[in-house]
Amino acid sequence: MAARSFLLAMVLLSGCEAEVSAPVPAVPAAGAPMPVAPTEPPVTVVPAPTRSSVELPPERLQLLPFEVRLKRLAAAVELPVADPAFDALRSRATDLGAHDFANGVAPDLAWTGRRLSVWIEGLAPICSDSRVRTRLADWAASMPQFALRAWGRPSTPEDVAELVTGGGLSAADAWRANCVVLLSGVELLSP
Amino acid sequence: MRCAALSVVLLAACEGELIGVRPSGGERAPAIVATEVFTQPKTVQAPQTPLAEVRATVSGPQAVAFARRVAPMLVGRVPTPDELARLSTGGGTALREVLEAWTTEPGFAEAARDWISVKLKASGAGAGIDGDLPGNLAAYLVKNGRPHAELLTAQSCYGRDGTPRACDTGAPFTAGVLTTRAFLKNTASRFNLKRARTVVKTFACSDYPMDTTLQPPIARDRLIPLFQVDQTNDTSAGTFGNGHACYTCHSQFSAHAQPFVKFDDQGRYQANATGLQDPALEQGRSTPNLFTSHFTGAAAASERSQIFGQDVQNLAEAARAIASSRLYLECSARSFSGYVLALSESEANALPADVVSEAVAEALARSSQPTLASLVVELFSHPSMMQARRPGLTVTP
Repeated sequence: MAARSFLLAMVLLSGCEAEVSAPVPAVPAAGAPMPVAPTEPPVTVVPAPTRSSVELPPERLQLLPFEVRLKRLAAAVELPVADPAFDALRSRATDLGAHDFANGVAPDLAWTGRRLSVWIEGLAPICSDSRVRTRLADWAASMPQFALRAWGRPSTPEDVAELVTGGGLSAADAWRANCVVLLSGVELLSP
Repeated sequence: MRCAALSVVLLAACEGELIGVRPSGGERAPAIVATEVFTQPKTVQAPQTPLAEVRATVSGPQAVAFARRVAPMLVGRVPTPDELARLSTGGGTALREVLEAWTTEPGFAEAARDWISVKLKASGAGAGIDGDLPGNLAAYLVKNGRPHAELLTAQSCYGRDGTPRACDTGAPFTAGVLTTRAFLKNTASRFNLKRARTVVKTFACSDYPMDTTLQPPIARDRLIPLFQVDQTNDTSAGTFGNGHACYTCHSQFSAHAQPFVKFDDQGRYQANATGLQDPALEQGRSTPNLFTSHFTGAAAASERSQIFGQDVQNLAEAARAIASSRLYLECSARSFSGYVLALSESEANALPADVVSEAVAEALARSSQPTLASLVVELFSHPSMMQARRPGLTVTP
């Protein structure tokens, strides 16, 4: 009797672990009650929930935070961000959208005409810096390297085609125009 | 008989899912005899495809585009040529590795600094208050791999260089950014409403009235009469604030405002604050330069309250209650994503709950005290985030 009960227990246990009907060994002696094999319950498999997709609102044109803009600019011209060449921009930080909450200035990342004008003024020491002028002496030739540093992508033929050349400008003025245009572009200064 | 009992125990372990048995009757039944088998329909949910598998399906160009979009805000630079190459060939899986590396860079700590500074409107110095303390703490925690909860529970403030220094309220306890004068002065307002609301909006992504399962309301009779009413007897709307519909929100505001009762309008701790209304001043103001409690009687002067259903003794315990909630982690993940992706607060709060929740669950699976870095890695390497659709997003090949 004890053995039979134990076997029944095993049968029940095996049904429990498998959670479906398991083969039941024909154990009981003749005349003994026969345990009935549990039948497999109907199982409905429902699909796994689908992960939501993320729909973001349309991208808005806005500037990177001031300190990030400065870092990207520094990387583009291959100067350390603490270099004095950037002092002119730093001195106009709040005009350029940096925050100083203690003095009532909230961040303003709108790319306004006035802000662009201040930025271009601040580029003057950088675009006249001898290290920059030497390193990027030929914009077309420097473009592959500049694009990777400034934009994080390989340069394209369009990048070179858009460079200012000639048009009555001296070589020095054309270089300077390209310096200002490239260092104040949206691709450098916005996310 | 013992064996029969064993059978029953074993069967009970099956929780009745599969078969039922009944004794054959009589005390001397030879054993349990199965005479009936009955089944119940069972519903099984197919397992979700593991995140890593789905992540691996994110293409190289998608990973590159996402990395280029987030890198400047995350680490203050663009991806390097080496990173671009790895992303191009490795897709989503490579992006996760790149993200893990990025979150160890100084630029990520600076992003955390700016995020908290902007969220709490605290930066610069003025009127003897160091507005950089909240941002400094955020940067310190990231640089040192500290749990993100310490933004609200840290026992120290820090200088810009990471040197420990006392927080500046003079309170006998510290609660991370909440016990900085920059935060407290910015949010000073009658009844401490702005402080309470800033905390729940910033760190729980919630607002009033909120779900009562999150914040059980304070009993009506514990509040001063102004906030007990929902409607006047004649059902008129009244003229003050939101009319007379006061209790619904203030039964929760009261709980969150009370721990601030001893902080004055300059963020200084005043141990003798009473929380009582100064009858000579406008509603919500106490003296000197303090704010009125929502509570009546002795409770008005006490900092004790109940936050998210937990009894707390003061602001430090209130901060711990918030920081230990999963909502805090999810809110932080949303908020930081919003900062990086230039989303408004409401847009960040609208990020799909299952995506945010799954990312936080992944971070929690790795550590019960996730860092901001781990939250960011998990959320930004979630396939749904990497493949987020955004009109107007320019993807340069």
